Amino acid sequence: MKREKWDYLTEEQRKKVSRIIPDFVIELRSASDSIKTLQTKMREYIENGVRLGWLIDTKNRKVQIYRANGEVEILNNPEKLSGEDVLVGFELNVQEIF
Amino acid sequence: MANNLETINLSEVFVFPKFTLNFRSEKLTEKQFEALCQNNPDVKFELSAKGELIIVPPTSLESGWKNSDITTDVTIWSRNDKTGIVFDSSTLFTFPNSAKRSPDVSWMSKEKWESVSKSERRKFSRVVPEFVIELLSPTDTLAETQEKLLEYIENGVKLGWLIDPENKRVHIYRANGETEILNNPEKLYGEDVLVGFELNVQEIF
Repeated sequence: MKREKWDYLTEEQRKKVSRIIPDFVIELRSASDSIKTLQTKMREYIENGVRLGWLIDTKNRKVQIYRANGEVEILNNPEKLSGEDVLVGFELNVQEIF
Repeated sequence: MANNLETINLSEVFVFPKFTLNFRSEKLTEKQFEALCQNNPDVKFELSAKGELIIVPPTSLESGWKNSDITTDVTIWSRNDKTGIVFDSSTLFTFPNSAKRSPDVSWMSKEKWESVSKSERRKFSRVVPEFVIELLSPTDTLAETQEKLLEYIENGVKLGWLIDPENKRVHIYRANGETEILNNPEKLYGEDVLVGFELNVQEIF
C-alpha cells in the first residue's frame, strides 16, 4: 500500500479488518489452489482498485500479470518481474522460488 | 448501537473473533483436517493438541504490517547468514504432541531442512522449526499465547519470542524452560539459535 494511503488512516482503521485496499498484490499458487479460482480472484482485485497483481504459479514457472487497465499478460519462466508504475524501481528475481 | 443490521457499518464494528470448535470426543483425522484445509483455501485453521479446531481470524492492517516487517527482518538476516530458512505465518507445522500450528514467523536450520524430502516439503510439515515468533494481536489472549509458546518449547523449539506490541513487552522462551520478560527492550537477540541476529523491536512498538 502507498505510504500516503497508510498515513491517512486513523489508528482505529489500522486495528480493524481493513476496508482500505492495497495498490499491489501477489498470489502464490500453492499445491491446493485451483488456477481458475485464483484468476477470478485476481480479476476481482483489479476491478476493485488494485493497480497491479502478480499471480505466481511456481509449479508451471508461469506468472500472470494483471494491470489496472484490464490487461493480462502471461510470462513463461521469466527471469525478473518489474514493479512497473506501481512499485517503481522494484524488481523481483522470481527464479529464486521456481 | 443501531439495531437494524443494514444500518451498521461493518467496518466500524466488526473485528473477527477467534473461533474454536470442540472435536475432543472424536478427533479429526489427519486426512479430514487436510481435506478441510483444501476445501476452504481462504480460511486458516489450527488444531490444538486436545483436538480442538481453531479458525484463525484474518489480521488487521496493523498486525499484518508488523508481521510482515519482522518476517522481513528475519529473512534479510537469514539470506545473508545462510544457515537456515524462514517461513511465513501461513505455514502449518505438526508438532510431536499432534498440535498443528502456524507461528507468525518460523526459522529452521538448513541441516533440518535438508533432511526433509522434496515431496515432504510440499506437504504440511512434521518437522519442527528451531525458532518461532508469535506477535500478540487484538484477537489473541496473552494467556493462550503463552501456553502456545510453552507448548512449542516442550515440542522441540529452541527459542521463542512472544511480542506484545500493545504493552511494549517481549516474553522470551528458551529450550531449558527458562522464561524472561523484557519491558520495552531496544533489541532482541537470536542468542545461540539465530547466532548474530538482532531484531530492532522498537520499529513495531
